[in-house]
Amino acid sequence: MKLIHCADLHMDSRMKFLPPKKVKERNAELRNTFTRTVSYAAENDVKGIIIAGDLFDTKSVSQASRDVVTSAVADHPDIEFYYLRGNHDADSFLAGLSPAPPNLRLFGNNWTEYELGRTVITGAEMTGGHSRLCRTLSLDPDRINIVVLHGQTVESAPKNPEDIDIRELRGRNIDYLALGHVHSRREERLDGRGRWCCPGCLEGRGFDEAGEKGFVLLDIDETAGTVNSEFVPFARRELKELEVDITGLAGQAAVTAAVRSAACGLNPDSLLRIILTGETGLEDELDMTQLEKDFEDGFYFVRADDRSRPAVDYAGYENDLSLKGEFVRTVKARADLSDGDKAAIIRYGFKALAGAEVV
Amino acid sequence: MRLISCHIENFGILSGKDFEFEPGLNLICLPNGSGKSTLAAFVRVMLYGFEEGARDDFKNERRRYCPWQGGVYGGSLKFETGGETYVLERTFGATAKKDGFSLRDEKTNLEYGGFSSVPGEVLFGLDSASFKRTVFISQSDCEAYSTDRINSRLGNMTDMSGDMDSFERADGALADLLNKMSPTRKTGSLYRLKDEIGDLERTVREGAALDDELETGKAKLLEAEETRDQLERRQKSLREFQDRAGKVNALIDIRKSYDEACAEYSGRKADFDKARGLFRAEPPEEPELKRAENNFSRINELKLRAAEMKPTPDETAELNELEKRRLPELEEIDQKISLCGRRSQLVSRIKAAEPQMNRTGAHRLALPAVIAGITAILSVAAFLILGAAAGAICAAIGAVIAAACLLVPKDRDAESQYKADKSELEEIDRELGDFIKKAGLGSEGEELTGALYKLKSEAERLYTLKEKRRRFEEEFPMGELSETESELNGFLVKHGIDGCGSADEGLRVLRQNLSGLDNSRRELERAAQKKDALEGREDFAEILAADPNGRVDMEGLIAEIREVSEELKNADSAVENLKRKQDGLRQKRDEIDGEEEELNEKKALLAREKKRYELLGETRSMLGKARENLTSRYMEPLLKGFRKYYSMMNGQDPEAYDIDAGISLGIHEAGERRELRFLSQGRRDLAGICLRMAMVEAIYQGEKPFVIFDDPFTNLDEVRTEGGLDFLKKLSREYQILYFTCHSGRAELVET
Repeated sequence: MKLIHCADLHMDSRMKFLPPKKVKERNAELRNTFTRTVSYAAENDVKGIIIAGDLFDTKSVSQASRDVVTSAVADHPDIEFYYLRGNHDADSFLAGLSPAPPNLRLFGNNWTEYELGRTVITGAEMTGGHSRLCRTLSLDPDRINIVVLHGQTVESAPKNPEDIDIRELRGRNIDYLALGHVHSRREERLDGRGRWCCPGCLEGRGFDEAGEKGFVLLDIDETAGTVNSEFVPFARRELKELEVDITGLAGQAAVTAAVRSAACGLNPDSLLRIILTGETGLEDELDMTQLEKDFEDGFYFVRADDRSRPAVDYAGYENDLSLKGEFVRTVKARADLSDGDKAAIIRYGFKALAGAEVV
Repeated sequence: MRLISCHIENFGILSGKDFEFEPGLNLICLPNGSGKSTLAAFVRVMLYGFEEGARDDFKNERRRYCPWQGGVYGGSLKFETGGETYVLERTFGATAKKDGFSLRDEKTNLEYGGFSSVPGEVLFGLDSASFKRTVFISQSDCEAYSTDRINSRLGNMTDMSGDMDSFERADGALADLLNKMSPTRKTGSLYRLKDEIGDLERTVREGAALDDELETGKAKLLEAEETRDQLERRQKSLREFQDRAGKVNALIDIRKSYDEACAEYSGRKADFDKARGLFRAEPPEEPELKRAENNFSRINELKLRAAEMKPTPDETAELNELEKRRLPELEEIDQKISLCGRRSQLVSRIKAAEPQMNRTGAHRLALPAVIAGITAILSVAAFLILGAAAGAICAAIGAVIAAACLLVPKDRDAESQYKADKSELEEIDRELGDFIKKAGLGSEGEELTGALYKLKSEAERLYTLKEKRRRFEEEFPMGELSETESELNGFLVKHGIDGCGSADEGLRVLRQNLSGLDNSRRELERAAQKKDALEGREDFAEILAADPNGRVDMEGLIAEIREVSEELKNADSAVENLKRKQDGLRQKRDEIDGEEEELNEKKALLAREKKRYELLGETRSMLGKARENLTSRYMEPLLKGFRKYYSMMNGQDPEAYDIDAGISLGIHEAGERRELRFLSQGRRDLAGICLRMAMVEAIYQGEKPFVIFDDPFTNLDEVRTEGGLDFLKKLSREYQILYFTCHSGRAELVET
């Protein structure tokens, strides 16, 4: 029997770093990713979809998101949807469902179980006090136990509401702990019997969620009592961060060429963040807006950040009698300033003296 | 470099003036208002152009020096530098665009482009402001302070970047930027950012309260939904009860109707029985009764007819009496009457004839008179017996006969006739006599006729009565009457109404009873139908079981349903309001979440900007320090130069004076360094002149420039003026000096 384990789709996200039109597009793509996931399940004989929290990002769910989810559930009565709400999900979605479709399985503040053949899917929603909940978990060792929670694992007493003390869940006959909340994929052994897995978010929304995103496909052998998992990349678009060292490159054109070379082969559907690193000349001026503009046609979205540091040739200014030379020596003499600060001050000073915009 | 000459075409008050300049000291002593300062300005303007921009006509040099008399506004200046002589010609228009400029090498007379359109900057290496601070010393403006250009010249820097020149701009730009970013000024971006963060933090803090509100709202919503659901259930229950109650009440109503129907049925049955009881036997059917009534009618009809047809007892007695008399037949009587009539006729004729036979006039009249008399009697009898018509006819006939008798004369024939008549008369008498005997009349003559008529009348009467009797016996359906009477009687007896006053009464009663019975039956049938209809209902058992006391107060129930519906409506509204409120709170919470994101971004931005602000501050500070370091390098030579010229002018060593890195003079007096602005104008002018010359000396290490002194000693006392003049003379050994004054005494001192 196959199940899909996904989480953190965060429909109706703000994604403020994108222009409004693209925010709308991306939210449509988030909804579409959910629809495609359900279609994948239907086409691949998946019996159930576990949504381990944060299906929505806002407390007030948009009508479009509401419709997509309710339609997907209603149109696939043969697929069980196990929806566990996360810290971002509010009750507005469920409040609008009257009645809830029979194949939409919900969880409450206490453990709720659903049987699917020999497999039992048990879950509880995050309300704070995970430890208390975990201690009350009692599972039949003869069943294939899948537990669903939304939170982040810790190996200590929880300090935050979303902390799950993983130690409390060991030895409780869990075969697979399906988690949500952390947006990057991670899977580790829980105990001698089972594993815990966070599939990461289904679709990246910001550059802090760069890389492959998707869901985990569980293949349950009810006879053997085993649960095998496989990550399926499924996001519509990938967010990529591209670091380009511009040390030694002089001028905008050279930097642009270096970025172009580094970006060669990248998927044009991606959202690309160009990060310039390395050292630049004090008097070099890089226009990030221009850089973004040069690449905007090649990718869905481009953002350029300059993390390069000006390189200061202190020795070169040692005998410079000009104001610049005096300035550089004055700055260098400040032992209380870091090299980075000194470089920044010198860059600011040079730009000010050149009458350029001091940024 | 030195000025050689100048020609002023028109410039201010000067028009068509030429001046020659010698190396060394050039004294230009002119009275007030003759254009000394104008000449000095002319030289400056020729080298630097006008200072533009001022709106005031006086401050706007272009307008200020525009010749009132008109003419070409401009002139020429010949100068020498680097061993070459140049001629500079300029004309000035209303605007700079209309200015004319020409700089020629005097030797080649070709345009020389090496000085740009601002030759002063190239010649002196100073901008106009710096020129006015150094080599151009005008009266009441002797104060010396440095400019970037001066500093850069003082630093002897020829760097292409022009850093020192741009220091002021850089410092100004940094100051502006720092000002714009100020964390303390309300207009500063950091201040505003902190404000925004503060606002966002307040908003985000509201988020916690909002979460509580959401939770509370959720609980309230649940409660409200529960209340609503309860009310819905109650409403449903009441409506179902209403349906049932309706049915129950309907059943009760039907039961009542049934009871009423039964009661009515009983009543009708009683009525019917009573009505039935009025009949001795089986009530007649309508046809039977109808037949009886018809019989009755028929009997009445027959009886009436019998009454008409059957001789009355008197008639019967009369008939019997007449039959006893064996009256002759009517024909016979008629015949006898005719005989009488004939007899009469004969009598008459005979009588009539007798006169004839034995005839007189009176006899002639006697016959018609007799005829007339007989006619009258017969007419009356006919009238009485046969009617008026018969009477009239008889009268008429008699009249005619009488008339005829009058007219008919007697004759032979009459005799025979007479005899015949007599014979006939006898016959007739004989016949009549027999008849009389037979008839027992006993009357003769006219009486006989009367009697005959009477007899006839009796015979007719007998005939009539006999006919009547006959007709009655033959035609009257006595059998039918009997049968009908028998039948009717039997009917009446059967139905016990023979005791009624009359059959008519009996039938009427019977009819009435029957009608009453029919009505009763109909009523009974109707009642039975009604009752049966109710008993035939599928829910009859329920109807029977319905408790008449179990009627539900529908009005009260409806009122209760209405009340519950109203409460449900309110509950629905409450739920909707709470839902809307929750939606609003969620939206607000989402906004706050968004603002929380924004808060984090702004905090990060604030940290970055604060760092930037700090670094920019350091940048400005260290740029300033670098500038100070740089300028401090030439402070010493400047101070040295100042002291030299001060001693030259004042005869004293200016130990108390010093210069700071900003090329600003200060004096140590009474234990403190004081700015020169606290000194007298004279002392300030003196110090300013000396410092300016110190700058000139420091700047121009090679070719010396000319220096213009436009009467700078006006605020000096005599001693110091004398010192100043002497100072000029000494200076003129190194510099071309242009000294403008209106004081002839000073001119003399200079010339001596």
